Amino acid sequence: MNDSRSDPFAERLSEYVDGELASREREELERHLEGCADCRAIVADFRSLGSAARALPSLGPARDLWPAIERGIESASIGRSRGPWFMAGVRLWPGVAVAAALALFLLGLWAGANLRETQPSTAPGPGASARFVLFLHEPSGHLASATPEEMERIIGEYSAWARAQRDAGALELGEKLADGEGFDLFAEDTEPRSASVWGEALGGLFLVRAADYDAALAIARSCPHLKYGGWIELRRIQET
Amino acid sequence: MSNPEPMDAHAETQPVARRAAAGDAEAFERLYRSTVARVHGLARRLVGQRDADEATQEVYLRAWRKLGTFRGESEFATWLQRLATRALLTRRARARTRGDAREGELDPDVHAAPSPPASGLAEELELALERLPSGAREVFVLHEVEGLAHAEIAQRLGVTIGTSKSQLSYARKLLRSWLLARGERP
Repeated sequence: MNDSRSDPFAERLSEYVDGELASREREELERHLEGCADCRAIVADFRSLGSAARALPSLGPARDLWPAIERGIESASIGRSRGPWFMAGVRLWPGVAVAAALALFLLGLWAGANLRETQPSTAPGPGASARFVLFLHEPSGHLASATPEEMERIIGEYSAWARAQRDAGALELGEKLADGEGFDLFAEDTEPRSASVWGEALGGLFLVRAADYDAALAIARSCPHLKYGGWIELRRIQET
Repeated sequence: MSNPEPMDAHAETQPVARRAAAGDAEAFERLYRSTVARVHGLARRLVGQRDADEATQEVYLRAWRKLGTFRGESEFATWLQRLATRALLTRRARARTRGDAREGELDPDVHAAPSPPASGLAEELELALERLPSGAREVFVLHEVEGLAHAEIAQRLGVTIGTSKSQLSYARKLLRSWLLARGERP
């Protein structure tokens, strides 16, 4: 195979194929290509590779994966038509709007008081080398039908969990987002859209320190948010 | 056989996706069956053949959870492809964090054992893709197979655009050299 490593233009061939060279560079390279058969062959082969890659057949699984996926859906009990477990059999009262408002008020208390109490005052725990964010996603109307007593118990669980994470040196930040407000912005829109159009909202977030994804996953799995119909998006912060 | 026909027309996909988002497992199965070949192909090329089935299952479970965020402006298959790419790259990052030996880099200069004979450029290219170092393979698959721009690849991989371009160039050189050595002109 021909070696073009000594050719200073060789390193620009990939960008040339993708049309990413500035016009002056492109013109210089094209003048070079007129007299260099090796580079012309490389350009042709790179383009052919792209065509071949785009034409690669789909590689479906050798076996049907649906039964396992279906079991995963059922065992996780995360269907959007199902609410938190404690809502089973709970009738919606005529005063459901009142219950929802109360829930918002209590959750505001949770965010305003309990989490601020748990802001870390100690150094990170041992082996905590990365930061992770737990985004708390909720179905629309999350906990809206919970009774005040149920809300108080749930808030207590969140607070106890947050304190435990703080004491372990893991929790750096915990905030609840205001319910029922906010916007989604897209470049093509002239007006912002109301957030959570399709029945799901981002309810809050925790910022934790952990050694790695496995440790962060363990923290996330222990969070009570998963018990009450919500789900957690776990992402590592890219440190610069 | 090229990539399968896209999912049903946009107007037909919307009600199916809405039903799935509302918890209709049968609707979600329809979405699964029309997209699994492409998702599994992406999984196999990003995480390898051995883990592709499990990774594909993870993608669909994640899609089930996130269906509420599908806003319907794009084709469902496009939305799913973006979700799958993020999920598969996260899985690879977790494996590297664990120091998973299966995710180790291949040194192309010392790789000597020839692959079994393959028939045609497509099969040779698939075999060659599996041999690429992981970073180069990820960029090549995302750019050349999935059609993503370097800006998006860089953002998903957490690298600079320059690194993405360098990895693509590296992948192209390696693939070309291996294919030529096996008598396959790209």
